Amino acid sequence: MTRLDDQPQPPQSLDVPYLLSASVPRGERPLGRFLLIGIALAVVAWMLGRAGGAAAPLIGLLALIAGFAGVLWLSARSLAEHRGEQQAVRTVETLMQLRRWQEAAGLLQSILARPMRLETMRAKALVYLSGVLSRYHRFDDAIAVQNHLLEGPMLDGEGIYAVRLGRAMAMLRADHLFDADRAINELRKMVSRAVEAGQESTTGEHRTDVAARVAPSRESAALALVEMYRDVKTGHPDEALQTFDLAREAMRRQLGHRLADGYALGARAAQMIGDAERARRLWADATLLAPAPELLRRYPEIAPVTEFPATPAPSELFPGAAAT
Amino acid sequence: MSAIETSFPSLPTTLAIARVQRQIAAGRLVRVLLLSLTIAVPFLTPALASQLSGALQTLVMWALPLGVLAAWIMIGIGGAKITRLLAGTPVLIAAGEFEQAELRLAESVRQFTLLRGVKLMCLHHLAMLRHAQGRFDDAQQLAAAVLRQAGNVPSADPRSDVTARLLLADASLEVGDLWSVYRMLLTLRGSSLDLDEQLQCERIEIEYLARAGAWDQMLIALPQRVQMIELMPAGASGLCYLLLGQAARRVSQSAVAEYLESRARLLVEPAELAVRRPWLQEWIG
Repeated sequence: MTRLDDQPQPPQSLDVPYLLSASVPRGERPLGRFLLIGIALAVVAWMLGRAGGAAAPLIGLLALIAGFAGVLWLSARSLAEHRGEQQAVRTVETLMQLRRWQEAAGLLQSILARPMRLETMRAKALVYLSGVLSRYHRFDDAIAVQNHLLEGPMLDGEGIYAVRLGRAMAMLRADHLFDADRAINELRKMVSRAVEAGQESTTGEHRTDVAARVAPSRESAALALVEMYRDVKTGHPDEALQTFDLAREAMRRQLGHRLADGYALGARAAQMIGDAERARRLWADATLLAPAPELLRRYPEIAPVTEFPATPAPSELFPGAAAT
Repeated sequence: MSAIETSFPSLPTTLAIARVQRQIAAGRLVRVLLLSLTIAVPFLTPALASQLSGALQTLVMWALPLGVLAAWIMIGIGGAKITRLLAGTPVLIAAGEFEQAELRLAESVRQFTLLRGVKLMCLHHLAMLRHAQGRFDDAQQLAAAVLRQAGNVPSADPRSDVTARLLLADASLEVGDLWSVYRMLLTLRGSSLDLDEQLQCERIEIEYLARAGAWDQMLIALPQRVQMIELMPAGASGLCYLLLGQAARRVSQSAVAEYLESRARLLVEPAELAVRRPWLQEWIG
């Protein structure tokens, strides 16, 4: 799908401060509604007790049935609303996977423009919102959403790690280099702590602290990618290539087609140190997995590497795409 | 992937299936009885009470409806207990904590509940565990049992039927039962699948067609297939590229074959794939 992306057109409707405040759950208490039904039934019973008469048992039975039906209706309605919200957030995820960004942005706008029912679903929707904003190069807005997520108790360990990764990348893209460097160092520490915790657990010791739950080491490939981008951006190509050599295997296993990002950054780093042959090879591999325009959109700093030829894609596979 | 050796006794598959089938049959009987009693209570209670007097009459008036109500509540609690036991098992399986998952599943299979869907969920999760352990024969039997029991009755979880079919198709592929894979693919292609399920289905279909030697069919709608493969995890996409490359080579599309195989080589180590799929060895060589 990388060759069929829709063109980035910034969605002006995604007003981040408004969406952040409007989507806060109202804190409804469904128990209250059930309590009201209970009170109504008690009042009916009390009135029947006072009135007596032959019709009293029948009215009591009808009141009970009505109360039971009311509880069932309320439960079903509440469940349907929860499911609808979950389904909408899942749809956003699918649209993003399919790179249908405009549709994803539109759906996020409609989901977040009113109070959500579940805090967990809101957290997911906000994570996706930050992804969409980054896609449209609205990095400061993306960082604002990510900061909001990290300030609240909405995320678990892995979620915190993923959002911090996204925030570090957004900071790099927005040229907040000092903040990005600090964020990357914090992430590296989280990974180190998680690896240590994993090693201890394999030796039989049991860790219950936060570090053991945060930042699983399997995500280090994504971190390596962020570090490579920082090094390319700040003019440290040797370090970028060193990271690439160390993390290439992890990237291959974990990143799927995003492995192309590693090759592209590696190609630019090789070009920066004057190793043209290696740069040519790495760029050919990068463009084998992803088209050059897409890689340039993700990392504008690698533009000089396009002097090397990209791998041409057979027209049988990508009939609608121009040869890259 | 060879079967993972475990140091703890695992629940025999046939025993688990037989026990769940017995419990579902017994549950059905008890459910019918209880439902009949529930309908009869409003008529039965006044009739019984009218023949009694005093405290005994009051006792019958209250005890019978409350007894039925209590029975339904007990059923709900029993089902909730097993559901709670089952809730964490997919996470345990994904984390590779098979012993913990096995213990929970053994306990949930043993406990009785009238809720048929909950008992089927036990078998479904057990099939997932066996699949993750590389015991594909067992996984196939369990997934088939889930689908057999589910029959035409709509499930509480509409996705569970699809995931059981995907599980059965994948396990059948692993044991070389291509006829079962074909049957499952036919039903899956007619179902409404979400994106993850479509990707799994695509990978199974490509592997099935390759094993059946249907090279031409593999190359039908190739651009769409490649778009799907680009969304898969590295291992699955590497395998699919390798197999499609092989298909392209067989029909003399060497440029396409070269391109797809180059992509595969970046994403996977072909020798690693062949460890689990010995039939792949000759193509890689």
